[in-house]
Amino acid sequence: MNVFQSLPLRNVARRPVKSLLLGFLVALLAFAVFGGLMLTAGLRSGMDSLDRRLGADIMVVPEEAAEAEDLQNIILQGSTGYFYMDRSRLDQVAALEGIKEISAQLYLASASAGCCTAKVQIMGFDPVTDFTIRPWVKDSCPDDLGEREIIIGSDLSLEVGQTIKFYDVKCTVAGKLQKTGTHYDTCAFASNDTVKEFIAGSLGKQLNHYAGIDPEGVVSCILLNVEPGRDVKALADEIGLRVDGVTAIPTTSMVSGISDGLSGVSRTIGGLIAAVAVLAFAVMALAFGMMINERKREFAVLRVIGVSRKKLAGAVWKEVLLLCGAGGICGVLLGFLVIIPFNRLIGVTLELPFLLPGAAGILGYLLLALVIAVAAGSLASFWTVRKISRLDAGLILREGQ
Amino acid sequence: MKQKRPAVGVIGYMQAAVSIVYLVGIRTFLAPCGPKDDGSWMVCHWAGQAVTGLAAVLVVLAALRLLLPGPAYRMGVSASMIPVALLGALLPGKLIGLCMMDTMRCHAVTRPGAVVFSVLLAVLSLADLAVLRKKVGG
Repeated sequence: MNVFQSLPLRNVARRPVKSLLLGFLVALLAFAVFGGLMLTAGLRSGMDSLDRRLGADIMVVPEEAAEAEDLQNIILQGSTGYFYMDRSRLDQVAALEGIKEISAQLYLASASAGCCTAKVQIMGFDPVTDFTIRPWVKDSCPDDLGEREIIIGSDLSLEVGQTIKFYDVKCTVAGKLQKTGTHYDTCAFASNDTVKEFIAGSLGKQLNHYAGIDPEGVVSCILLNVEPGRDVKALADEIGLRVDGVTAIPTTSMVSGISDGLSGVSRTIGGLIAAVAVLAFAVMALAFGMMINERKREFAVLRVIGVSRKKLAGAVWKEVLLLCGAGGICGVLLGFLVIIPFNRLIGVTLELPFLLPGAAGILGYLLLALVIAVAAGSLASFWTVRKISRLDAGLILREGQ
Repeated sequence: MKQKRPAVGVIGYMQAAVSIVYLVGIRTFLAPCGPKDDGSWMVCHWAGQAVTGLAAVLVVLAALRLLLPGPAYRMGVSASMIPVALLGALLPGKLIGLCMMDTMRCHAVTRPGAVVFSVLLAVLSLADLAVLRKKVGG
C-alpha cells in the first residue's frame, strides 16, 4: 500500500487517546440518535396498536367506574379493578339504533398463577359476539371457547395447548394474542362458564372477591361499533341519556388523550437528541480544530514535499471519516445492545404502549443513525479541512524558527 | 536470561472486566425475581443461580487468560470461553424456565442482561482468537 494512502489509518493509530475521544463523541451521538429514534418509533407503534386493539367505537362502563377510575389506566396499565352493572344495560344499549356490533366483558380481579408472583388480569367475554379480542388471536382458535379454555395475552409465557391454574381451576390455553403493547398482553380471557368456575374456585379458597356476583347477570364493560354513517359522539350521548347509571365514552377521545401524552414524550426525546447532537457537534468542531492546529507543521511539511492541497485535504477527510465511521458503528451497536434486548424493561418503565418496529424498521434506524452521526462528524470538521487546504506551508514552517 | 512475557493485550483485560461485571451483575442489578410472599423461590431463581456459577467460571477463565504466558495457551482459554459464554445466553429462559409473565424482572432484566454479556464475551473471545492466531502463526 502506498504510504500516503495508509497515512489516515496510521495517524488514527498514532494518537490512540485523541482518536478514542473523538470516536467516543461520535459514538455518543450515534447512540443518542438511534436510541431516540427507536423509542419514538416504539411509542408510535404502541399507540397505533392500541388504536387498532381497542377495536370498538364506544366503551360503556358503570357511572361510578368512570368517576372512580382513570379510564386511560384501564387501557394502558390494566388496573381495571372490578366494577359491575346489571346485564339489562347491555340489552338497553343493544336496543338503540345504529349499532353494528356489541359485546360485553366481565372484569375479574387479578389472580395469581400459582407458579410465580405474576398477577394475571382475568376478563370474561362472550366468544360468540366478541369483536375486540378474537381478531388479535394469532393462531387458529375454535370459534366457541370450550369449558376451561382460555385465550391469553402475548406476555404470558405459555403456548397453545399448555395448561395453567387459576384458583385451583386448571385451564387449557386455546389461543394466544399477538403483541399489542397494552395491558391486554398480560390478561387471560375466558368465557362466562369458565369465569363461573373461577368464582367458585375463589370462594372455595375463601378469596371472596366475587361473592354474590352472578356472571350471567352482570357485565363490567360494553363495547360497541356503530354502523357506517352513524355519528359516534351522538350515539355516546344518546346512551348517556337513555340508559341509567352508565357512562359511554367514544374510544377515539380516549386514544387521542393518550396520543397527546405520547406526543409530549416524543417531543422530549426529540429535544434531548437535539441537545446531545448540538453539544457533540460543538465539541467535535472544537476538537477537530485543535487537532489541526497541533498538526499544522506536519501538514506544512507534507505540502513542501509535494503533496497537493487536494490530496492533503483528502487524507484528512479520510481520517475524519475513519474516526466517525468507527465511532458511529460502535454507538449504534451499543444502542442496539441496550434497546433491543431490554425493550420489555423500557415498556414496563414507561408504562405506555411500547412496540418495537420490525426487523426492516430497526435496520433502517440503525443506518439512519449511522449516517447522521458520520455526517455530523464530517460537517464538524468541514471548516478545519477547508483551512488545511488553504494553509501557507512556508509561513507555518518559518513560524517555528 | 529471563524471557520477556508477551503483553496481555487490551482484549484480555476487557474479557476480565466484562466477566467480573457479569458475575457481580447477576447477583445485583441483573438478579432475577425475589422470593414469593411465603418465602419460597420461583423457578427463575434457579436460572439465576446457574448463571452465577457460569459467570464465576468465566471470571476464572478470564483470569487464566491474563496469567498464562504464551499466546497458544491464551488461545486455548479464549476458545473455551466461547461455548461457556453462549451457554450463559441459553440458560435463562431456554434451558431453565423463567416466570410466567414476560414483564417480570427475570424476563425484562435477567435474561436480556445474560444474553448481552454472553454475546459480548463470545465476540471478545473470537476477536482475541483472531489476534492471537497471528502471533502464534508469526
